[in-house]
Amino acid sequence: MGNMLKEIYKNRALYLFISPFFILFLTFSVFPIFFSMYLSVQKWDGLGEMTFVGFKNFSYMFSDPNFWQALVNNVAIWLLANGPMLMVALVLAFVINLSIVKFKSFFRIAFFLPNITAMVAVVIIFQSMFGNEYGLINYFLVQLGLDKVAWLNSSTGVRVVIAAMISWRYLGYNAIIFLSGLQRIPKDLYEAAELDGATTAQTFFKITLPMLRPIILFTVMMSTIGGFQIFTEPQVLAGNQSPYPGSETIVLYMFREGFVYQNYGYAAAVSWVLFFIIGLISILNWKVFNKSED
Amino acid sequence: MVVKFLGKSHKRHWKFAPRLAENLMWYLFLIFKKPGENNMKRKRLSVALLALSLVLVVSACGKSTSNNSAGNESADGKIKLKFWYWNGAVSDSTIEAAKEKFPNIDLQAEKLPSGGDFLTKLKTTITGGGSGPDIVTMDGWISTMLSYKEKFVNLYDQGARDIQPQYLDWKWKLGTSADDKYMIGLPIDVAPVVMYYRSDLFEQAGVPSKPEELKEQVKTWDDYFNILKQIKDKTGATTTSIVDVFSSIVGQSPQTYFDTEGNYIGDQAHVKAAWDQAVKAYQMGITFPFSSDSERNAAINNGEIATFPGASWAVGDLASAAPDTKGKWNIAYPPGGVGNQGGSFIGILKSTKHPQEAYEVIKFLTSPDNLVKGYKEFGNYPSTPEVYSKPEMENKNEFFANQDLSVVFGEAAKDVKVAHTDPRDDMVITTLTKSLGSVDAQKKDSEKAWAEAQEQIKRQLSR
Amino acid sequence: MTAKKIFVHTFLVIGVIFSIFPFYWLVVMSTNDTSAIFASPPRLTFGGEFITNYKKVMDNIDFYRALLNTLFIVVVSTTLQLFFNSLTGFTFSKFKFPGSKVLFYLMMATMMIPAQMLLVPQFLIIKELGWLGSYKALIIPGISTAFGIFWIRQYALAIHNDLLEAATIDGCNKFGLYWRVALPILRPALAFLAITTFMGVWEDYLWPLIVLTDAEKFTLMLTLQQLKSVHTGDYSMVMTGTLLSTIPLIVMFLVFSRQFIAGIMEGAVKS
Repeated sequence: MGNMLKEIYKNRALYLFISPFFILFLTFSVFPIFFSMYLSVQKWDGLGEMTFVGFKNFSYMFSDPNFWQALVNNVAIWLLANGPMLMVALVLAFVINLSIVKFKSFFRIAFFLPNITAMVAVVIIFQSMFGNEYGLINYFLVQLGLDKVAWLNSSTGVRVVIAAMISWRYLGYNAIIFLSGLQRIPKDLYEAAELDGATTAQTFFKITLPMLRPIILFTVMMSTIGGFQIFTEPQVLAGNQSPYPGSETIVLYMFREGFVYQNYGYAAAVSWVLFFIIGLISILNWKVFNKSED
Repeated sequence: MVVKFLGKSHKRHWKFAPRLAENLMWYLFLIFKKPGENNMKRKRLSVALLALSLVLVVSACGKSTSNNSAGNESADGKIKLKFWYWNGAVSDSTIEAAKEKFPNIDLQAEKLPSGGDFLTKLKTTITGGGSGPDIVTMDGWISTMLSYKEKFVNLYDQGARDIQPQYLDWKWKLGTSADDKYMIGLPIDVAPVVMYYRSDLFEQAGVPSKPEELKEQVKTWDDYFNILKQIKDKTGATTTSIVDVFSSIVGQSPQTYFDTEGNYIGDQAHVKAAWDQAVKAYQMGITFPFSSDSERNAAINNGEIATFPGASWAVGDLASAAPDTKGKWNIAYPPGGVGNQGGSFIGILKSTKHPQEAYEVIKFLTSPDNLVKGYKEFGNYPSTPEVYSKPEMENKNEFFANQDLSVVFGEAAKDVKVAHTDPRDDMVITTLTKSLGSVDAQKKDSEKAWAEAQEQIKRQLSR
Repeated sequence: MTAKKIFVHTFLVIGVIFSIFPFYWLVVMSTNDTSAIFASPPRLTFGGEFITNYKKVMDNIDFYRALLNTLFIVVVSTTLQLFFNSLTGFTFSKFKFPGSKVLFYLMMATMMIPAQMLLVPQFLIIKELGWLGSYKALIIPGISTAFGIFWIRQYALAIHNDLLEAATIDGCNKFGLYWRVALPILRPALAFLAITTFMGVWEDYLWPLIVLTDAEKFTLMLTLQQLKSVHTGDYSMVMTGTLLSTIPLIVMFLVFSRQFIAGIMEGAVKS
């Protein structure tokens, strides 16, 4: 025990260095977190008295087909959007970073623009691209002698559209992350590889990928956390209507059930289940991508 | 209720808008609202933590002037009144006129973001209790504000009974408590739902195409469907979606989803009839596919939609969404009765120090003459019937082939029926429309969709 | 070699077209009038209405005051965040001390709570502190974020321990290790963090909406909302306002992304 205290005292500067985050956490987050835990076992309409309902909120949730549907939708959209996007982003960053590429800063800004472009413009574009009757894509399909696709009438179609929106918005963003991550790879490694006559592909798999592992872990973690909190895209795509079939994500479900229908305790319960789902998947990610870190 | 245009503010869609963010925030507020005994402790703890953090943190952000002086007198001895509104609620020239009329009042009019954001801000401020405005505009969500009526000045105490006869009765009642003893908002405008139609396409199809003829000959929804059938056969054009038809019919009903005791009546004949009518229209092939706003706007602009039920404010939206159809539109008295969709109010927060002066200001802002100004500037149709026949109300619009739109709106406004609203309406409407939409989009069997929706609603209500 | 060059550039250019189109469309809309936007087919070429639209924006809102407000908040926030996040992130990546793992995982867990759950209780804490209406409410709660710390921590793992040991022997204390050794190496990471922080603060909407009480102190995103909402929606004016508010972000991106230039790691990491 005395050793421990000594150890702590010895490292006091380090505690000071990490203290801002935890001070802010204690000040601004602890109470709300405990309160929402408490709320998750209550029934409350937001105004009247709270009634303790035990785990009824949870049992209702697990018996509600809409909840499971939302979970399926969410996982589908998440995989559809993030898997391919992260891979393409990594390749894109690698390519932009190649010495043969000219106008690097132009490409950087061009690919990053979707992330800056205001949602108002994005929504108009995507709605008019994927429209059933007047959509640009269907127009070209008809020109090519193919059939129109009713994108927004089937779950699969809607998920593809939403995944496309997400990939489009975050491809450049993730590429920028990788691009800055590439800067932490010493150049002499590449030079040595070149001397050994390695091809571009070999360099990518033998040097870039392993060296980027912590950065890949970062992007995977962030897209897991973001992917289970998808909200904006399905909501804006549907406009003022209720979400399209197959597009109701967990956060949308939580908002609708809880905050629109005034079942506040229930919303808190959903958010805690969501917390555990994200936590579980994050731990898996951590185990898979964190192997060689230390 | 009816057509939602691209780029519309959510203001008028209060019934349909998901209202997510604001409800969320409201809830979180209420959590804190409960003044617990540990309040002081919490405060002390946070202050202590904060002091600690400020020692560590280089505070580079001074400039903290908190403006807690709601209703204080300003330096020059004037009474300060803060007024929150959104762009388009009250005309700027009226506000200027009010400043001139009340030289002893320093009227600080602040434009806030509209729609749900405005509500969010207002709710947080009310619950927070401080640095709030004295006067605020309110939208259709005034019905939820009535649950917190004690946060507002009772306008009846300020003499609002005296001016009551000026306003449409149904509109007035939307701002009062059920027992009519408490009033929280003076009416600004109303938004009767009328029939918008393409007179050229109607003519081409050989159906009545003059507003008066339509009013006489198209009285019921069945009449409407019959002429639509002819129009569809001759021109290929339809009305808007199956859901729009349903919402419009329900909107005309004197009762909707819950009765005044809070019992669910959304599974009863009046709703089922509206549902069946909408399905019938869909099966007759006279509805446009249930789709996104931009699809629908494109269809209107391309002449594939010949008519739709729309509120009075849809005039401006239609003109910007379908510029290629300029001069081809008219409006007429709607089939089946008149519903209302939107229209705002203006009220005074209890936290004000000058309720009397504030009342004088809002009385002035909503005087019949000033409401006419609002109509001229924004198309907000006044809630004071005495002005409807005034010559300055004339509103001839090129987009509508110079038809005087005020005549139709005026007739419709007087016949509006409003139903009892309930906080759970949103849930019922979302579930029903989603299910009805699937009858079109996923070709679901209509009876099955109805049964599923009802089952889901009852499950929700049973919690 | 040239074939490869052509292939790579073609690949990039195709990607660029997809990426840029909505932005291009935004620019097109702000140079046309509203009826051209809704015309069928919509106009896809630049028009000559930009100046008119620009004037309308300026007539309706106090754009430049809101811009200055936002710039002040964003510069202070970004500076503080860069400092605190990099310090904490570096500490987590390179030092082991009692509780370091637990504290790190606790920090990670805070990211998994749906953030909206905390928004309004935080507002009430702000109120109790008397910060309502002050920029402190916008800046202080965000000066240290789990996202930023995690990012810096992942990046800083690449810093070689030998380097730190050598510096310690030379008499550097722990803060000196951060300031002298780590910071230069972390430059590209800081650049990315600066970009996201800047954007996050710039585009933040709900939080400023509820904590700011005075229209004069409104941020750009709040002020822009006032352009919307009239029923006869002037779409091209709204798009012009949107475009104008995006330009500083592009400038910011160009400035910071220069830090991505390789070469900093050389020497620094060689063992």
